[in-house]
Amino acid sequence: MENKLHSITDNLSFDFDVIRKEDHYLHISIPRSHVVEMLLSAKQIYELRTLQLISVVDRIEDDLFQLTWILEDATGVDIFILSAEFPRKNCIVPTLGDIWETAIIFERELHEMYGIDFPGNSRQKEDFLLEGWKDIPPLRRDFDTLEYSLRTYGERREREHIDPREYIADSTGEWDTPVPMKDKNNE
Amino acid sequence: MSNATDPLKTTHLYFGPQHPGVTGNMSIEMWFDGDEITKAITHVGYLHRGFEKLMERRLWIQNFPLVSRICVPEPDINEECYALAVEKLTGIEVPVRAKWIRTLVLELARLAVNLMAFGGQAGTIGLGTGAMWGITFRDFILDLFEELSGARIYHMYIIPGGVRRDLPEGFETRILVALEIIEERLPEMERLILNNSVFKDRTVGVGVVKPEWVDELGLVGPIARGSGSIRDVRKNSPYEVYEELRFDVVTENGCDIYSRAKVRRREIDLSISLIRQILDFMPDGTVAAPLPNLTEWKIPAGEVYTRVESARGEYGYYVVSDGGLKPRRVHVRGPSFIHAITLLERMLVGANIADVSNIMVSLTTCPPEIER
Repeated sequence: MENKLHSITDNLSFDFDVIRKEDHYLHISIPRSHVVEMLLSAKQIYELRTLQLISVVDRIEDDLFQLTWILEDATGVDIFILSAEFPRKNCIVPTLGDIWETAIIFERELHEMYGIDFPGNSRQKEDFLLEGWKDIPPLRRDFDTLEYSLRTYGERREREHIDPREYIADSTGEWDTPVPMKDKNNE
Repeated sequence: MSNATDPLKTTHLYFGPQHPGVTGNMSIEMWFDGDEITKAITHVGYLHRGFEKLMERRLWIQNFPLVSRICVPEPDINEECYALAVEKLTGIEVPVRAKWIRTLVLELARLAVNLMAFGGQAGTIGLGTGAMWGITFRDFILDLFEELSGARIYHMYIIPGGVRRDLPEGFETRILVALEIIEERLPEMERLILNNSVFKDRTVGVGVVKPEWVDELGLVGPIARGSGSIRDVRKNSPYEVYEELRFDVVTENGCDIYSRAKVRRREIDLSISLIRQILDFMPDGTVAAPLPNLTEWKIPAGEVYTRVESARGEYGYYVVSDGGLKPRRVHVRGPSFIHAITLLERMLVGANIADVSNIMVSLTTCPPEIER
């Protein structure tokens, strides 16, 4: 039987794609210009009152950010997931801080990790995890962790490798497996 | 400048990150007017290890040792969420016995956390005996995990398609023995904590979470249920074998720290009941579905959001695959993200300095869930 959640898409006046549809679970993708109206109607008409997550996938090959909003109803039974794509360069996404207070903190993190601008978010300029970060936002696909680490901290000292069998044998003179060991007396 | 942070009228203080009353590595910047907090800001970032970034650079199976490290007291929920996501994307069918074993493991972990959290709540106001008992009882559970998985903390036992191995010979009996020991002493622990006049004075009416905040902020777990909500993923969106178990969602209506402590105390009884049911009804059979070569395992393209109920509430993983050897994106949504920032900053305004750690522990905030 069709549940209330699935009727969300019945009267949409714009194109959408269904990414996943299950009982009490609906994930659709819509044009970015309709995101705020869609989320508002989900909250007000379909009573999906809780914003559980805002996430980003960096689709660098298409020069896009895919933003995803995850909503739940009051009982936590129904999940509605909405995705939309935004241009990656100078990415600007409308803030939902006026609709959900929790959006402020999700957006603040995404601003720091991806460099996405949420105009109107009162706290997005505050450092979240990365105090004084000067590099490109670290969760972008083009941020190279190894290169950053080498540039910032230098080469790691070469590790000394010790074979545990040799170490134990040298220390105790014993090794109870059939692995050949060096005869200390003949060294 | 508003009066809340006016340097001539307020005291400015950092609480943590090195402080015995702070849960994990985080700090709260606070402004006081006398003894009363006028503004609070949560600061995190002290243990950011870039889990989500690392997961995009590793094979699907290589992420199992990573995800469990997101939560020290309860790593299994991360393994479960990640495994559920991989199974949904690939269509792998988990054997029935493996589902029962997974539920058993998740309840054992929940029991261990709630024992520690219930005792820990007493510890924050100086009632150290309760805290020590909680830690001791948790250790009985950790002994079982050590036998089951070879590790006390990070078990890496739940894998896609099932679990790593079957239960050891006689394991069920040893679980029952541990439960008996814990159950025998629980009434005394309860009297020590919940009937203690000092504990009541410090927790009743303190750290109030208004019921209307639950939906507004997306509060979950004992925080929501301590304010009358019936949100519990085990009941509302059952996974593994919870649908086959008999239980009611534990709720209290006090909305304060005392109420949340009572929820955790009753959750202990609930977990024990669920574990006994699982041991009674667990079927025989295989414990893992066959998997392909793990070093060449490509997961079909797709996106999925999976959820489980952790001891701190609903825990979610948003996982995206582009059909490759590695995840395109793994986003971990832990309850502490909202509890420790939006909720805590709101709750602390108007509270007294002596209640800060008491309030914080009642939220069982876990910074690794925020920093990932």
